Amino acid sequence: MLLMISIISIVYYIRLIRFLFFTEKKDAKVKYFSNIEYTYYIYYLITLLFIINMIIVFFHNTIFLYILKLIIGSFF
Amino acid sequence: MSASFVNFYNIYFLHVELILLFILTLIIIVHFIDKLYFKEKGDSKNLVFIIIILIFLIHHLLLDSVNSPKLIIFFYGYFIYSNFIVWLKIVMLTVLIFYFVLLLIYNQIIKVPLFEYIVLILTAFLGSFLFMISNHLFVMFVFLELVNLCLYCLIGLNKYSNKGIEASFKYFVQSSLATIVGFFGISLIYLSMGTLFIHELHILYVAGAFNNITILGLTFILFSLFFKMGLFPFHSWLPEVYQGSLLLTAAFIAIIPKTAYILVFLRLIVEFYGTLEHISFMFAFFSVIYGSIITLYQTTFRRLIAYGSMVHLGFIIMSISLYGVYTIAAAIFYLLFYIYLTVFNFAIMIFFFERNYKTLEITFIDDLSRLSIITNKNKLMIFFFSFILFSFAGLPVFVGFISK
Repeated sequence: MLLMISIISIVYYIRLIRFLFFTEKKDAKVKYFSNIEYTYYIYYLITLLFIINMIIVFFHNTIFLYILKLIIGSFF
Repeated sequence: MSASFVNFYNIYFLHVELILLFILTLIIIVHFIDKLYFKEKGDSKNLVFIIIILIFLIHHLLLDSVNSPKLIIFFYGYFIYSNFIVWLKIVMLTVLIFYFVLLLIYNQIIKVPLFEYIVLILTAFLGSFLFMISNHLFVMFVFLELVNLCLYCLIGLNKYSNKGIEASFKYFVQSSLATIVGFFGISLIYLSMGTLFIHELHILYVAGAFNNITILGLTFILFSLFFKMGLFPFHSWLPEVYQGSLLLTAAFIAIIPKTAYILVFLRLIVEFYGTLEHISFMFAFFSVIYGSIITLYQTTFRRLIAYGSMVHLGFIIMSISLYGVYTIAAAIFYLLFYIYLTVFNFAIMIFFFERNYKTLEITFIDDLSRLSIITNKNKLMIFFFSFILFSFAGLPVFVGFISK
């Protein structure tokens, strides 16, 4: 059952990735719209978030054990 | 649950909330002094000021959490304090800092009424904190309403679209109904047990004093919480609000109040184990199934994200409902990843804006079929965005896989 709901719950993200890489209205992007100039802070922020991601991936066991310890201390 | 009382008049453990309240008051006073005497707008300065103080707050909390006791009840028994709550507060404050940085960036693209926005966000944040630490059911719902009142206003602040007002009104009507149901549950509990303190109710429950009316009251409270979380079948407001509100309002609704609701739900499950898990598991299970299937038919990005959040919350609630140390830790771990990925997702979504050549009007690319327009803008962003989607989906190597 868990496998079934896991599969169901990932299908729509895979569908979204299809939309991300393939366009259906190819003329829409050049005809009507122009880009916006973004501040550099957004790039710094996104890079920081990506680095946090790497930290989480490498230290996920430590984080999980820390949460476990906190929960045992607080609720059980 | 083991709990210990401290001095009833002690308000030391409310220090974070009091500092937040002080910041809020200071912002309002500074703003009105600016308006009255200097005729200037100091909003951006205030914003930076808030961010700096919040960093200090986190630091203070981190230091404090090292020596904090196991679980204490203080201030006439109305509030609780524990290591886990301190940790969750640190996570929420970190999110708030990211949120304010995002707000500064967002404000350069689309102008928002900054003063109102900051005040409402901070009030909702304060309400979430107080809601999290409440130990009395009535007080809990009062703070819940404080959060929701701010959210109604925040959703309605979208002056670029009429959908904001519509979503705000819909959310107001439905949420009021859910709160009435919650209060009805509270009254049933008071009618049968004569107290609303959670620790006293726990003692009564262990002694076997609960009857059917009490359990019915708890179930009503659970329904009210599920409505606020947006679980199936109480989710009707969720896509409307995500679509109608400003982008950052949706980000706030997706993270901060939901974290507080999950903590309160966790407390109810732990304190009254054996009464609520089956029903909450069923609701969570159907949320995952319904959310996953209905998302496949969505054509707009924000509605898809809304249903996606419903699925993730379903997973978290399901895991908590199984009631075990390991499953609850896994749920909190999942919650941590959900918060992180949602912040990342909304940071990337700032790139979804585009300006019309003729009218110079800025719009949000909400149509899924036009999503590939952002590939034309920035190739690096497409990498990050696909990374987030793979993480949300829970494919191996990515962070979502670890949590699942």
